[in-house]
Amino acid sequence: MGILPALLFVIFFFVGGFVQSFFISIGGEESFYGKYESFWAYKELWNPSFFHSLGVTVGMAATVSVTAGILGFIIALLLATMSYRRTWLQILFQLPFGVPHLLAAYLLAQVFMQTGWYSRVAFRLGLIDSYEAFPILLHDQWGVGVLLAYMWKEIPFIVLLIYPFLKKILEEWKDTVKMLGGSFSQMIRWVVIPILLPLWVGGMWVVFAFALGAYEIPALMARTSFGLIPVLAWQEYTQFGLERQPIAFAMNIILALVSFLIGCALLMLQKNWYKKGRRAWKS
Amino acid sequence: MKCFLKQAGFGLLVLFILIMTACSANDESTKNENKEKQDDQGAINVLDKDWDQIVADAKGTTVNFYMWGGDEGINRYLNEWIAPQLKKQYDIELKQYPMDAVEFINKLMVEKKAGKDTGEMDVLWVNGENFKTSKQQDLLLGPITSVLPNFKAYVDADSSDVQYDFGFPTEGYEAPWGKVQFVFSYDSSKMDQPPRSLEELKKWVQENPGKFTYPAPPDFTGSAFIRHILNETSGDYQAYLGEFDETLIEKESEIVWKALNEMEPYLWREGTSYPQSLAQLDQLYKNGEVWMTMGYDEAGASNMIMSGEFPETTKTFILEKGTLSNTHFLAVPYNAPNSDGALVLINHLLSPEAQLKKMELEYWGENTALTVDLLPEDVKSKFAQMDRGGATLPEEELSKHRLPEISAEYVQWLERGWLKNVGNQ
Amino acid sequence: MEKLKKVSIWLFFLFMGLFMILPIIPLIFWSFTKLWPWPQLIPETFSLESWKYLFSDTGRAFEGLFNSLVVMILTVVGNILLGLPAAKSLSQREFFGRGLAFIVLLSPLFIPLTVSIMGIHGIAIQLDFLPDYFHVTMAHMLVTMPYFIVMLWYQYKLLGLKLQEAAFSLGAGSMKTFLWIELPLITPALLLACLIVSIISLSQYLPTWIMSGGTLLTLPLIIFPYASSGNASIVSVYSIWFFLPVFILVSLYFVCMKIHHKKVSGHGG
Repeated sequence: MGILPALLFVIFFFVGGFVQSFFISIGGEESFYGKYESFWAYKELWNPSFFHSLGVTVGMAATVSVTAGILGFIIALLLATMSYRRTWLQILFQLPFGVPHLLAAYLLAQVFMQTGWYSRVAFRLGLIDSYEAFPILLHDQWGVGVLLAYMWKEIPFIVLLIYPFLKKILEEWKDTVKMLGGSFSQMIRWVVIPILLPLWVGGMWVVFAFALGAYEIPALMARTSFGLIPVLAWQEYTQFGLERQPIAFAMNIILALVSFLIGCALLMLQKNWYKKGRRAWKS
Repeated sequence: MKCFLKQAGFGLLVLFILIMTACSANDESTKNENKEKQDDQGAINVLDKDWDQIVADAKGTTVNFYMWGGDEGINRYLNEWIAPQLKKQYDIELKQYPMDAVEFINKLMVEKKAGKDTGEMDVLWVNGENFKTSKQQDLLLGPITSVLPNFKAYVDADSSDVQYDFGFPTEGYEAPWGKVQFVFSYDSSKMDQPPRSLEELKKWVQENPGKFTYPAPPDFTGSAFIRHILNETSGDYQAYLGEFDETLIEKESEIVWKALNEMEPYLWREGTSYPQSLAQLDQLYKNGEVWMTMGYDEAGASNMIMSGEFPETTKTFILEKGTLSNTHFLAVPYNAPNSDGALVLINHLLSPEAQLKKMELEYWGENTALTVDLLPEDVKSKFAQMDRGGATLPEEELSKHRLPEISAEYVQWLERGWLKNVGNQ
Repeated sequence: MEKLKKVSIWLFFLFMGLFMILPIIPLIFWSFTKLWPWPQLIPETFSLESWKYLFSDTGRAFEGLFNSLVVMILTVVGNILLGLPAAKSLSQREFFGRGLAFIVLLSPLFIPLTVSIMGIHGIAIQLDFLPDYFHVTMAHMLVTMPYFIVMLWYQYKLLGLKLQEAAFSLGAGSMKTFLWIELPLITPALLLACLIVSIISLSQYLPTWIMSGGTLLTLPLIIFPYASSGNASIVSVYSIWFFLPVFILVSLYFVCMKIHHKKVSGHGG
């Protein structure tokens, strides 16, 4: 059983750690976090403002993952169909993947600020005459800054993930499709997407789960009043003392639950989709 | 084959449950064991030792200093100045580990829970909430100040800024390392007369919309800023120095939120968003987007001018009713692997020589934690003659406008209140 | 029409490419200056202070790089040892609880690390006798293994069992099948998975300091305090230093792919 070592490893460390945190979030470890009724942290979170935050957070993560997924797919497809190889272009589209999120947030804040580098370029080009005229991209009303920062980080991830497989599928199926008289878009629709779907949707889900739980980019770039949960959890965890830490755990566990449920829903949808007879690769 | 796999799947589940129960049971037993162990021998020993003995035992060891590491000046002070001295005088190796206080206190707590007797951290840089947590959870070695020769000689142990850390009694569990006072910085090329009170600040903000903001609490600096508003509006600020009284703060905070909300439409981004940290506010100031910044460090602006980060025209000001000041401290965790070396390091950091060097702008520029009156005459004059930079206000003016910090409960209450009443409105 | 399509594709590429590369440029300027107010496109004052600081004893540039690389290599090796067999069984065998096992293996992807990290720390303390490198590697493996497993699982799925069965029926042993049939086929995916694992490992902050107690100073551990205190010049210098191994790794990946491509097509043709 090749799977056992890996499975035991993850269960022992990761799941073990998770169970312990869950225990704390429902009121365990009283000697450290104070004695309260069980599930008090969840009860405290049961209010409209938290649900509003949850809605905003989930919406943001969903937007990030879908946009990054689609743009990443287009870029990977274009890269894979290019007639000649341009390695440097590929490197370019994959490099941001290697930048830690905190650095990425910092880096992009430096260019997107109203007094940032892009605004200076616009000023030099004569597009604006004062920095106030530059569009507000950070701490803005719609979270554009957060979205852009995540795009910068996650598009390369999607490209990196699907490009090699995409290329292979295209190579292997090109002749068959041609022989059958199918067009390029038909090939994408009936061959590439069905085969690539598990990986592609999986990648988007990973992005979703990540954007849901990460605090670095929202903390630096999102508007204070958004109340994004990763930021709130970080504040509870670091700023308000030991008694409030179970709340931070509870928030994160709720987020994990959301990611998990969405992951399950995606799996079900995918199964149904294949059942309807759109499975291409075994036919 | 299939049958075997089924069993394996089931077996996994059982195994998982077993591991979980074993882990928690294990935790309980080690915890108790260690408690006994510590009562027997452990911590107290070091503090009973003779100072000469401590120095002798510390010889040839390494001290791990856990502290915030985000300032190059401070890092250079420790690695380029303190470390070689420590090596020469005591034959001790100093190793600095950059980490936020919240992080290492949490780490310490997990270690305590798991019953780890010998940790990794020898000296911690703490203050306020972190100290309170660690003292309440018994994470510290004990009253260390009583063994430190430099503390006994040069620090007035009865002064309130040594006895209390954000209203919480220190009882010698931490030794003061430095003192800072809150000041505002402004660009004198853009404004001539800085405001001296909340009213004047409000007026200035209204006349110059978009040119002022403050970091969103619970950021350390932003949180201190709203306490200044409390001081400006409160009928009796002294009342907050005592025990936490929720009715008092509930009543008076209304005026604070009102004042802040009145200012809000004229702030940067019309108050719809705030910088998340002092770093972001400073960045806005450096780029010229706002004209004022602030900081819990009276020499911070001079320091930034010196390193070339702030424009030369930067100056600082304080409020007529005073600005907050606080002391930050050094402590030794209960499970320090080298408590002898830790004490020697702390004592050395409290030496007049080291404190004098710390005050130099090239490194840190921060005020001394020692009581200057207790120092020998020649050292005293050196402190008095120290050039603290053109943007730093003179000591007399600063000390005349010094306010003590209020207890951590009030601080947190205000931070939460700000989020509810101002930030998320 | 064809031309229009081509132009729009190139415009799209140009736009996306600029979006990716432009933020790096100010980083280079910032590393050579301390003050750079609006509207200067290029700073007016330059200084080498930050670079000097990076390579001074206080800067710890090489210590950080060395530790980061050691952990990275160990993490990759660990992933190959544990993740490869797991991915293989997941994709090729039916067994009870496969779905559950899959979910467990992927759980580090959807459970934020902050949730489990305290618990992991508690467990790690029990294994105190092991060296720091080992602890940190374990934490990095938890974070990276899901990516590794998913990619190889997918590759195995694409390959199917057919090739292997053919090899088996021809009488090749399992080790031989692996070396001669499987390995060349999964090499591209394996290389990619290793690249992703390395890069993720390089950029980890939280697991590193928790598991080592902050004593194993990898690059992120040194950089992050500066990034949150906002000294743009210092952050930029460290970021460039950090990009160096990332850039080398990505280039190395492409070189390996090229060699592999040549080999495979050489055999085939």
